[in-house]
Amino acid sequence: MRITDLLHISCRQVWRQYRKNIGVAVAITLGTAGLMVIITMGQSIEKNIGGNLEIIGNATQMRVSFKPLPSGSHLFDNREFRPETIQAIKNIPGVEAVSGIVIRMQFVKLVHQENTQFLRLIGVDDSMWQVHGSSAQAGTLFSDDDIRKRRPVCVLGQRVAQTLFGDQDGIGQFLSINDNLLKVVGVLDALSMPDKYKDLFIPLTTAQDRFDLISPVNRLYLRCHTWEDVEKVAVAATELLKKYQPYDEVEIIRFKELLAKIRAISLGVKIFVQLALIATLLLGGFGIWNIMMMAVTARTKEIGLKKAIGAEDHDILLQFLTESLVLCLSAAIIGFLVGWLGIRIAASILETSPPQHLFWLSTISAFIFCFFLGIVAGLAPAIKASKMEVVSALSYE
Amino acid sequence: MIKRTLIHIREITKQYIVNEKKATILDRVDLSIQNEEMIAIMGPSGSGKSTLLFLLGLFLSPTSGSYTFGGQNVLELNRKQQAQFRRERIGFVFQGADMFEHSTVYENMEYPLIYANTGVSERSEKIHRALDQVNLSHRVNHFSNKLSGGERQRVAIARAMVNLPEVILADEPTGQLDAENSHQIMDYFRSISTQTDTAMIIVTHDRQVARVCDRIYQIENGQLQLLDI
Repeated sequence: MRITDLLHISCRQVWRQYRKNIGVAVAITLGTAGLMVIITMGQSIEKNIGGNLEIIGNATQMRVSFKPLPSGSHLFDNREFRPETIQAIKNIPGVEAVSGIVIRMQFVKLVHQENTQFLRLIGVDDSMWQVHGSSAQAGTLFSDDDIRKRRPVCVLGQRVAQTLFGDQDGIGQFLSINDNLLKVVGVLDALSMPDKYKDLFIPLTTAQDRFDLISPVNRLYLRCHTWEDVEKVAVAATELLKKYQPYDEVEIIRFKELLAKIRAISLGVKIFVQLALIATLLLGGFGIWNIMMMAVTARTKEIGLKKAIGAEDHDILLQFLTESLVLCLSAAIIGFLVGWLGIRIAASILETSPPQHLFWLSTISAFIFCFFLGIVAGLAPAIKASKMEVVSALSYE
Repeated sequence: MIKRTLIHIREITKQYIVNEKKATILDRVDLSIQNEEMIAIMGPSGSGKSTLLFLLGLFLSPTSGSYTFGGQNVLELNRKQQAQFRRERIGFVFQGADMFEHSTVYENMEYPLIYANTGVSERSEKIHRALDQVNLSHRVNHFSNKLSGGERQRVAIARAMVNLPEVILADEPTGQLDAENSHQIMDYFRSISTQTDTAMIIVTHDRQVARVCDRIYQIENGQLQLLDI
């Protein structure tokens, strides 16, 4: 039997029986498409999931501060991170942003109408929001321009805004803080800095200009690009601080356990998704096996007839095997098109471009997987069909 | 045409084990058939008519006896050679005019040619020539399930003929047809046999059908007896 005839007959058979095959074809199509999307866009999706987890966990964050002075020391702690130190830390590979803050060493008195509160005042630069992945629950967070122009504006922690304005957000209101009038421009979200929901944020420059008892820049916050960067940056920052500020004792605090937990969650999600896709494909394969087994039974008479007119055992075996392969690979081709579309959509949502090498790797992998699925699923039914005896097949009812 | 013996079976016996007892279906049967000859085999149900046909088609092996086809001992053939024998030297027509489902007349006719590795360019001519013999060329692209019973049987005959076999084995070819169609089918068998030098062995229980043949045999109690026409 010629290979062209074999392919022609098998394609015709699969096409004319498409109603019976459609369920299995859909399973293989979705499995193939899903596998392609996961392999190609996996890194981007992981980064995106990671970014979202970051908002809750801040696992790629680090805090750099000076170790406390010895107890009983009467010295005023005026240690600070110098601008060249901060710049050098910013230049460490893997560092996404660095933010220095100042804190007023006593609470400030906030007066609004008849409401008076005593709060901690923190002066921050514009990188603070990026480092913590912060967003404004209402209004906006002040910008680099506000800092450079030393504007009298403030962002309120969520509890502060709630106490002062209730259900209103208070944007545009003026607050009297230690006799300085500051305009409320935003309310901080509740998730990004859960320990600072009772604080008041103003531009670092405004704090230094308008308030007394302001600390030097003695605390830095760092954010790394990825989880993999955290340890490398920690080591590099330690070395760099020894070089730039050799007489200061510095501690770098990072959230190792949190990082490990978030990585475990991410890995778990990734493994779960991939296993689900492989299960879908295997389900498709099982479906093919089942369909081919049923087909062998349903087509017993056809097998007998073919043998009666001269088909050899291997003709029958190859025909059933090729039908299984044609079904599997046809579904894989549709899966490829769906996967390609899925990748385009995912790339558009994640605002990234799909890595070409991973796209082709996933395509080739999916087709190889489907090829072997077709062989494995079709082999047993094909062998069963080829071994049939003519007389029993012809007399099958 | 020069007459030559195609099939020669001698003392063929076929036994089955039923409930641990031997049941003899064919008992030392002898039969010779020449080219262009039409013979009918009759007998009651379960008498062994189809068994004899399956033995001649090498679908079954005899318990004992000899079988030569064109002088060759075909009982020595292995499984692959048996398939080759079936596609090159004999053609089959079955009672139900079994067609391949979801296939056109052309596709049904094409299978024996595909298994015989006939080139694509030669197939159309061979298929049309075989269909012409049963006056069905105009139905070549129809799906087999759209044909009447008589037409399906004619396609089955044409399919059996397409590889130009030396012998056609037909198992109750008119079993599901009315008298008019049965008569027409037997006419086709007769004209094909004459035109193509093909021998025909037809199993039937219909005496009218058997009368068209040159010889009529009766199987009873495992014995094959020639009847007077």
